[in-house]
Amino acid sequence: MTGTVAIEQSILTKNDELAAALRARFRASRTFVVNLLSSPGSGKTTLLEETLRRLAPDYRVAALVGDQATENDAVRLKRSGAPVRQITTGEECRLDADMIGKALEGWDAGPLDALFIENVGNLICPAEYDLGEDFRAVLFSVTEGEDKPLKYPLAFNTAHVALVTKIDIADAVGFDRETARASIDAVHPGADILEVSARSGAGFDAWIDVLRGLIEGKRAA
Amino acid sequence: MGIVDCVAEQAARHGLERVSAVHLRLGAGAGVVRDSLRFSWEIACAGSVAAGSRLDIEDVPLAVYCERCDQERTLERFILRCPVCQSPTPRILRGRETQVVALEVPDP
Repeated sequence: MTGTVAIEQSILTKNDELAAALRARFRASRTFVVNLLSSPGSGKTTLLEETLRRLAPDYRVAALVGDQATENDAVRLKRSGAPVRQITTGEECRLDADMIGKALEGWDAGPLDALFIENVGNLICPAEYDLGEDFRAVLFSVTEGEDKPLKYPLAFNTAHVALVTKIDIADAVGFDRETARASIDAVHPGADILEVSARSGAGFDAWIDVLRGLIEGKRAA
Repeated sequence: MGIVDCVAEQAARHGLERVSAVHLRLGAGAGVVRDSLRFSWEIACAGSVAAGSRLDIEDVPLAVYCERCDQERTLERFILRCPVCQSPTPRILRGRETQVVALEVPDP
């Protein structure tokens, strides 16, 4: 065969199909699933550790955590008492639906009300990959530069909420709140924005309340 | 890399043993950096059915719908504001795709 063969195939088709299957599975088990995205160092693990700790008394929660290498984050998160499984992605810079499906196999986390997936620290590739989640949260810390959403628009565009983290040190680092909010709004008009600090607890109640509402909603669905 | 996997899968499906060029449709709002893709293409394709292939990129601009103007607008940057009336334009119509549109097969 010679010449040109027309294809018209999205490179994400396969992932999207696997993600749809995961979503159906999480619907059946009434598990609310959150995908956490950010750059390295924005505080995903710290936020997640505190989130698990606060939700664990009332809900059955667990976490999957993606990194290119090491089990360090899983070790940290296990201190919350919740079941945690590390996914090491090797050369891949993001999690995909296939990795989530494989991680769930043979993992006896029991029935879950909420599953948190901490993606690989990267704002480019993870934005493209649906993991079957209900809710996507993007984090960016006050030290990262207020224009970060303009540099990585897709991650902020596809997120249901943007969490501005380390808000306790905002003044010390001269964080410009209005510019940061305008940057998020430019790539995601009307985006929900929460300012939080896992260390001081500032804004954390609001974040936990959002999650409680969503977990209850999925339970009732 | 997802693109090379997609090419390999489609080549197998169409019974192609070699691919000499890959035609890609790439949205301006897709999370793909063109220079990085071109830079890594040769290495990413090495050992695959597309080894040594040419990469042909068809750029798709980011297009949104402006409710206030009732018009489709093309954006220069990923800032979701109507370039004419400046109102927010959350609805993206095109420009997020990464599609393999065609594969060229070498002459025997």
